[in-house]
Amino acid sequence: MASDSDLVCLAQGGQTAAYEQLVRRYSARVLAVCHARVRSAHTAEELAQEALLRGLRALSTLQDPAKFGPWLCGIASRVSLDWIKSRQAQQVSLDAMCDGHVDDWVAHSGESPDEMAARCDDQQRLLAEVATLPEPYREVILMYYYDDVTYRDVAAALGVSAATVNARLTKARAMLRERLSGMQR
Amino acid sequence: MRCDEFQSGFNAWTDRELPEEQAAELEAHLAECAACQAAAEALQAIDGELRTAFAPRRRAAAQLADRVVLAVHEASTATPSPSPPAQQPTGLAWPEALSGVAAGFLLAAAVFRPWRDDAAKANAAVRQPIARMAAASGPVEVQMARHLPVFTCPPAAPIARDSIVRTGPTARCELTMKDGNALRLDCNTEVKLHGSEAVEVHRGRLFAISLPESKRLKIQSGGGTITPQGAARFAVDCQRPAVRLTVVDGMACVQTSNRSRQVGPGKQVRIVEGRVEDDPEARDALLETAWVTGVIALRGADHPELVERVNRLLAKVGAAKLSLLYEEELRRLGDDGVPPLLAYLAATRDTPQVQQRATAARIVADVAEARRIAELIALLTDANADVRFHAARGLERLTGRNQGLDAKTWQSGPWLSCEGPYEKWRTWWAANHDRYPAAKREIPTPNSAPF
Repeated sequence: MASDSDLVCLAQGGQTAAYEQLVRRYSARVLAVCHARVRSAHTAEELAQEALLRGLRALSTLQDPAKFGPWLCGIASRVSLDWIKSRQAQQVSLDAMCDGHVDDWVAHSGESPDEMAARCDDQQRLLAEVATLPEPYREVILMYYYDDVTYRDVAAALGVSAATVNARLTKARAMLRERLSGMQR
Repeated sequence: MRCDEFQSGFNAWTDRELPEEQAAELEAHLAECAACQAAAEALQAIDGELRTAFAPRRRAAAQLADRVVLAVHEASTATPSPSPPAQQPTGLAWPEALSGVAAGFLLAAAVFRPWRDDAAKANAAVRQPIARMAAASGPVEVQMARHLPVFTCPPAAPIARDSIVRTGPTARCELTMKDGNALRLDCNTEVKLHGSEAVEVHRGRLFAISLPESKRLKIQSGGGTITPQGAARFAVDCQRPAVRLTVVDGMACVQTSNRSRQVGPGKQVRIVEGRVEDDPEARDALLETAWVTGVIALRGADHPELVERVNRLLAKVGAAKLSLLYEEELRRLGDDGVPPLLAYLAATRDTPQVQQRATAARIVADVAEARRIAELIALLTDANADVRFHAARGLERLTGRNQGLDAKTWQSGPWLSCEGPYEKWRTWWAANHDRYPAAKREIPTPNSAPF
């Protein structure tokens, strides 16, 4: 498999297919970053699309091709924060936006209302609990479960150590287990 | 080490992130400690639930990638005729074109107002792909439009209308068309996809699979148009000035400017200068399309079409004058052809197809890789003496051992003299299968008793 550095160099040299491979490699991680920030599945998809395209336009400015992943996730984070700011400017609070939007949190494009209705209640509850985790834990859960990645991949994208990823995942899973078992009692 | 110390490693262990040595130590502890085992199971349960819950999100991420790839293609389409490469040192014409004409609507919505309905409309406006690269054995070139640069098509990439798809001297591929039909391209082949159903073959060999419920394919080549009648599989070999059509299954109609002709299964015709004529060099359809087997194998050794093809080739062995040619085709598949051959041997264990079974076992013994050792050990109990002989021969080739019994004795000896060596093989495999990570750990159990 070609390395990120190789693909970035090819893409910077004008090879469209190389950037397409990078898009396929990173779309899930970029989407996870956006989803963690804005907590709405549909909005996250639109922001992630924008981040991936903005990454392409700015590719010539990337100095270290090996840092493509963290660089792109940084763009995704900025795009999401800009969106949140713009919402705040419109005096719509994030809490108000998320309240009653559990369906939006779990929704995904292409899913019919019937499929939505058939979705297991337990899964809805679990995803709703993920949505309410503190951001560092929510982010690591999303990053890990959106994609087939290792701790090192997540660590590189978030700019933390693999040990931190392990610690956050441990804590996040424990919180989820506790909350879900609390609901069952 | 105390339980809480072990439990601190559960998370990394669940995610296969724990170093091998520590994982082994932890697993040994789990085998003895019920409390830790329950804690580990609880963690695995939440991991499983999260994976299930996130499955739709993973699909959404894949669809997002498709949309962005299409937007990049759209931007490429909007690129003005490029300067010669020598005058284009930075090579970044296509990213800049992203703010160009074709992508403009999409980007304007995505960049400035991503949360409004406009973005959804923009997404809908992106052109839908008409095909996808399903599998390829090497680099396959795609050109979206005549004035645009050629690029190497990544796996699963969408392909737009009017693209030219080109394989080189070492690559074959399969394209899945939007409506379910499939096209396979041999090496050195070039086609133009006018639409999901209209394809022009410029050169080389194409194999088309037309489904009954899909739109009717139209394949143009050499002045003729080939249209399947319902479900059909057929090959087009474009070696100008002649184009050869071989129908494997179903019916196809060939239309030229002055005549039309129906071609049935197993038949071949040539299209030359607007005429449709019987092919004087007609060959067996299975041999004529032998190259296709290699493409099917790319989709997996258990692909039903591969199994069917191998069975058809085996059926010809011994029954046709050109037996050796059919056997050669089976050998050419190498280890990819072994699973269908093993499946055939298992399915026909109690049937009288002695010669075909011996041929299948001979090929397996010659071409199988070490990951097939478990299946070869199972064949040592086969009722067919030749199958046992070849299984023993294959095992000796792969492992360098015979457990004290040569292949000839496996063929001629009674079960009494083979039982001991067979048990030795089983014991050896139980102790050694870890050295062959791609192999089955368990030796398949035959349905019937040993010979």
